[in-house]
Amino acid sequence: MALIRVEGLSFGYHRKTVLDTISLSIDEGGGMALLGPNGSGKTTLLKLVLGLLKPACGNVLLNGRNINSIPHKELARLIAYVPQIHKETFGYLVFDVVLMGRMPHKPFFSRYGEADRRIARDALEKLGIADLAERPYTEVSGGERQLALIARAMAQGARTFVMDEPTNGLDYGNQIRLLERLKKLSREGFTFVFSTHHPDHAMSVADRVVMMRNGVILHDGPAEETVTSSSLEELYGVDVRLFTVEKNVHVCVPAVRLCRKTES
Amino acid sequence: MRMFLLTLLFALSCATIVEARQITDMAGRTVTVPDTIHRVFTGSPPATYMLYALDPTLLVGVNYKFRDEELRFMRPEIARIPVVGGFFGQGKSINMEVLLQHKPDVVVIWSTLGQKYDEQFVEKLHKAGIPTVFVNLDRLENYPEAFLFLGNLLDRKERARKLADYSRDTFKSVSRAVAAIPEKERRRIYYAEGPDGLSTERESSWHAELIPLAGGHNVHKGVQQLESGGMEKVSMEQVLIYDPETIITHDRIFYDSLAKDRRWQGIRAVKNKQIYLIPRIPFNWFDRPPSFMRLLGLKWLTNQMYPKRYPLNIHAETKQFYKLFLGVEPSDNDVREILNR
Amino acid sequence: MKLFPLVLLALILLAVVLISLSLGKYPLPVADIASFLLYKLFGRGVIEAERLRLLENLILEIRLPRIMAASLIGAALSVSGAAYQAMFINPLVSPGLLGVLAGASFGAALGIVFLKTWYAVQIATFLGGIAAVAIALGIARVYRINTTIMLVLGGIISGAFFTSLLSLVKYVSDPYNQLPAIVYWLMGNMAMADRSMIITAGIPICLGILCLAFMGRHLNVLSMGDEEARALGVNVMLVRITVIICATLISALTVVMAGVIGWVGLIIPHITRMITGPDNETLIPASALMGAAYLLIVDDISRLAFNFEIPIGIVTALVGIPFFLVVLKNARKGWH
Repeated sequence: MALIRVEGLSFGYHRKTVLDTISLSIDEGGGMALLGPNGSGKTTLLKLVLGLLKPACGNVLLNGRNINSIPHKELARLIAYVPQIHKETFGYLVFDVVLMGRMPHKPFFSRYGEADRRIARDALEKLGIADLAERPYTEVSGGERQLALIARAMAQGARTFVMDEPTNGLDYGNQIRLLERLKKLSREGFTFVFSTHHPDHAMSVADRVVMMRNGVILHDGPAEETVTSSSLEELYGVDVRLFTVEKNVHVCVPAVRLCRKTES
Repeated sequence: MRMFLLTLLFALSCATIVEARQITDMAGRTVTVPDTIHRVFTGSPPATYMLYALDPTLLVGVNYKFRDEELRFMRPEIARIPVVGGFFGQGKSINMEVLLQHKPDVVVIWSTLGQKYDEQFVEKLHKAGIPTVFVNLDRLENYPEAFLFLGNLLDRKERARKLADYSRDTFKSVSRAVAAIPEKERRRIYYAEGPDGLSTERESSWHAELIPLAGGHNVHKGVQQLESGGMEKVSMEQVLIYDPETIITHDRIFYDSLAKDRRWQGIRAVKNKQIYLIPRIPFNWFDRPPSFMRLLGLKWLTNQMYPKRYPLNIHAETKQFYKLFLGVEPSDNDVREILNR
Repeated sequence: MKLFPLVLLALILLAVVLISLSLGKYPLPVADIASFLLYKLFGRGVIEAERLRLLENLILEIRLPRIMAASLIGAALSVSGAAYQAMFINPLVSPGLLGVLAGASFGAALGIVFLKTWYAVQIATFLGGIAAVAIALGIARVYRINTTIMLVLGGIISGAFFTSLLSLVKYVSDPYNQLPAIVYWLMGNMAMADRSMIITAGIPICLGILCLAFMGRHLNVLSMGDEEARALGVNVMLVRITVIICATLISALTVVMAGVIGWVGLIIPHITRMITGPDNETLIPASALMGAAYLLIVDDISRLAFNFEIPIGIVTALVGIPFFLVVLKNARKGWH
């Protein structure tokens, strides 16, 4: 039984349709990547799955329950949102940011307790950033900030993470490191749904890849089968070549011709 | 034919010249004004009240719309005079075009302390061919002279003499009584303004000049260097230190609150119930705005503070004053209401 | 929540209160105050009747209410400012953002011109403040209340509207009595605070401050962005409305008590943030304590410097702005 099922989902603003009758299912454990160009509706789909937007028609079901009928606090304990890193105004400590993940567990007028703090510390350790706990969030690197947000999601107690372009804004090294962490976490039984531009990233972390363009799903299937040279050309309109360098290491290379000497 | 026309022109121009005269106004300026003046505009309420007392039919416009409580004790003709605007010292100004429409023969202004706006206004009027006359109303003691001056200017000499005589008699009788009061009997008086009663005027201010004239001492001296436009703020503790024997106020809200306000109970004036509420219909008898009503106010205040030294039938005096200056005859009930009884 | 800074600030506030109690135009030796307090609190010692009445009047009716008023107002404005700064994710907003101060000023002016009792003026002031914020919310609702930008816009429009209404009232007021009264009132005036007003206005203010203090966690989350907050299970709309209601209530009450006092709600949260960090669980209560102490000190200056009173709104600006500029360099540590 699929963990999350999206059935016939449509969404639009004013006269513009952003998603047109999308259906897919996400199984427990493992990662699913949403691959597609800008404006394809990836972010909208993620927000609908999180319950941050209400669909025009269609349903999102979590374990068979319509997420619109699940109270927000309970939903937050089941699915966590890991947003892209963005400019922060206030320099909360990394620890305080992770502690915010305990919000779905607290009644309105209570304080964070010792148990909450322990869970937050554990999350930081699990992601290897425990030494950053007392640093202001605004003063650590982009990669570390993204890890802090993942730690926050873990502190929520959720087992499903929804991430919007998690490698955006990170330098090359941090991107790779983040992807390694995600892979590790996915092997521990967490479920990932994330959107990305990079076919490389999709292939290295995700088990399933969903290709979207203009609000519709073009392809949906296991990573190796779905991401091909022709499907990428269909998606992005560019010429790419795919190679397998070693076992399970796939590389996607744009075929850029620097100068045209002859017509092909 | 040509000779005849020229002579006619010459005769006509002489006629217009003969119609004007030169006077010296109360600021020492030499001004050319028409011989007979029928239409006057006064720049601010104190001057307007003077004109009203002399002859309201001369006014072409008033400074603000009189309130119902004021109109009750004014001659009915005043209600028909249109509102033109005036100088109130807080930015309200006069619409020149509206003023010119009414074609005043002369504009009378109370010039105090060289206000900037006076000059510009005078300049504009001059360009429009309207003379401005300055009158001095700075202190109450200037009023007799002001009445006589305006009486001369506007050919209401007899009327002006009556009003000036009353003023002078007032000063005489009050100062005679006050001179006889020994120092230790002189009352220390606090002038409470504002709804909290914690604004006041200093001793040297013309706002509170009735206090020394009536033989009292204003408890608030003020800080020398910091001269302000009035309504200086003091603290409750300051008033406790002053501990005045008498409190005088025109603010109804403050007066009513005194009975319940515990902070004021320790003050001598409150303990001895020596709190005077200033009569103010149609115009304030003490201050704000300063007017000839203060002549009656002076008598009233002196009598309130020293009833034995300056006996007065305030009821009768009010009726007489209102008849003479305002041209109305209030009933006994009216007088009681005016006196806040 | 860090306990140490709160305890420290509370002790500082207590010290300032005691010092302010002994300061005043009326010469009162500290020994007399001490013996009075001993007598009143513990029934020890003897004071003769006349002196006792004077001391009661001076200390309990005049000084203590004023001290409490300054503390309450300072705390209320600081807490409102801190809460708004978190909610609008902008360290440069002040409690008057949604128009409450403009509306309350208009209400006060209207009352002074048209109403007969001071009680009525206070009601008008309060209602004016509420009305202005209600209109701001209404304007935002016509579009989408979930955007803070619409709220700010609504506040700007409402504030401007009520400011012009205020000018209109000033224009029609009697220029000899009412206009000066309005102008002085709007500059800030602590002298109207008496015992009954402290109790009537003080209890709601304390409740409002407590409510906002308990919302520290929610404000933290809200300041990360609406979507993140919702995804963390926070009812953004409810939190926002609660904060606005509390902040509006207590800000309107400060105008009812003492006219318009500016700069406190903007500056104190900044300075407090420098000391405690941006975590609202600590920041909100700390701002309350610091704001109370600050306004108390400012009020001491305004009532003691000369034998006339400087309107407190002027002193908060003259003292606060240079102070703020000096610490601005370090204040930016609290935010980026």
